[in-house]
Amino acid sequence: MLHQVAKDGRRLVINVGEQLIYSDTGRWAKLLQEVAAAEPESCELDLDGLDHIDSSGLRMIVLLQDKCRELKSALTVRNAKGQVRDMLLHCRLDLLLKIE
Amino acid sequence: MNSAPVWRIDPPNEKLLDDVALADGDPLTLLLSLPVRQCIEGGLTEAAPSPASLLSLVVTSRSAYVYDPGGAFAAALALRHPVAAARVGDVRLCLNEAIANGLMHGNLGLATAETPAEFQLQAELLETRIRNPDFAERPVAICAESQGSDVVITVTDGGSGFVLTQSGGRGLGLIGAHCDDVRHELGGRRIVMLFRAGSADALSE
Repeated sequence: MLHQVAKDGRRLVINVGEQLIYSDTGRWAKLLQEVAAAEPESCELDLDGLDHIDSSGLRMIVLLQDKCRELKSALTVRNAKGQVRDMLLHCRLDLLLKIE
Repeated sequence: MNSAPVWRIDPPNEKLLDDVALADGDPLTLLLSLPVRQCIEGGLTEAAPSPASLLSLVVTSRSAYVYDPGGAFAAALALRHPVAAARVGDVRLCLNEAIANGLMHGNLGLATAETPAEFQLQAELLETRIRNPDFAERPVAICAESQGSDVVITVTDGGSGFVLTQSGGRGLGLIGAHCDDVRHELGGRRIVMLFRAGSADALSE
């Protein structure tokens, strides 16, 4: 997983690239800590550069949503495409997440 | 974290192993380049499938976590079998799910995290266990064989197995949705996945 976090006022933008799979557990745990420390009003997860995701990666996105809820922050998932979009929809995460 | 892994490949190729030793990053794509049929890490020979397989790879838990065996194996198998080429997206996803289950639940004994707090604890435990040889050196063995015009892929871990519940997990559900048949052997330590010729890749790539 490649990722970049940018803060724009109280908005946090997280870009994730390459793939998001089980082996990203440690990196995602650090990312959740980073989000908690930033205390954003809103959070945007940009998946434009992501080309593969597995069920562990889907769970990580749901856990990011849970973390944002704890912080009373709104999460929006953007730019999912190809296999990543298929997986989000196949697992009905569009019912849990705001996906644009 | 640890010294570089030692690899054995069949057919033997000292030049390829020298290239791997000099290369940075994930070595698995290079190690599985044609005409390699089998690649085994370190002393994991007891976990090695038959060398007559279409393609096999045995790695430690440490390498299964640090590298990308599912992606490398799916890409390498696509060069060796037309069904794997036509369904490379399904094969990659099913391999990642099977390897994740074998590694995280089987070899490392980690439970599924349901909350951010549990996930932080899981990540800390994972980092501890991946440095502990008792866990880190358990094998993950991946093997592909031709069965007529179809492909059968097995993933075997070195854990203590599990009892399959009716619901399974999301990963097992995805495997069931993206291959043509799936079954478990060795008390849950092995998953066997069938990919039939003529079935379409269910995923965009």
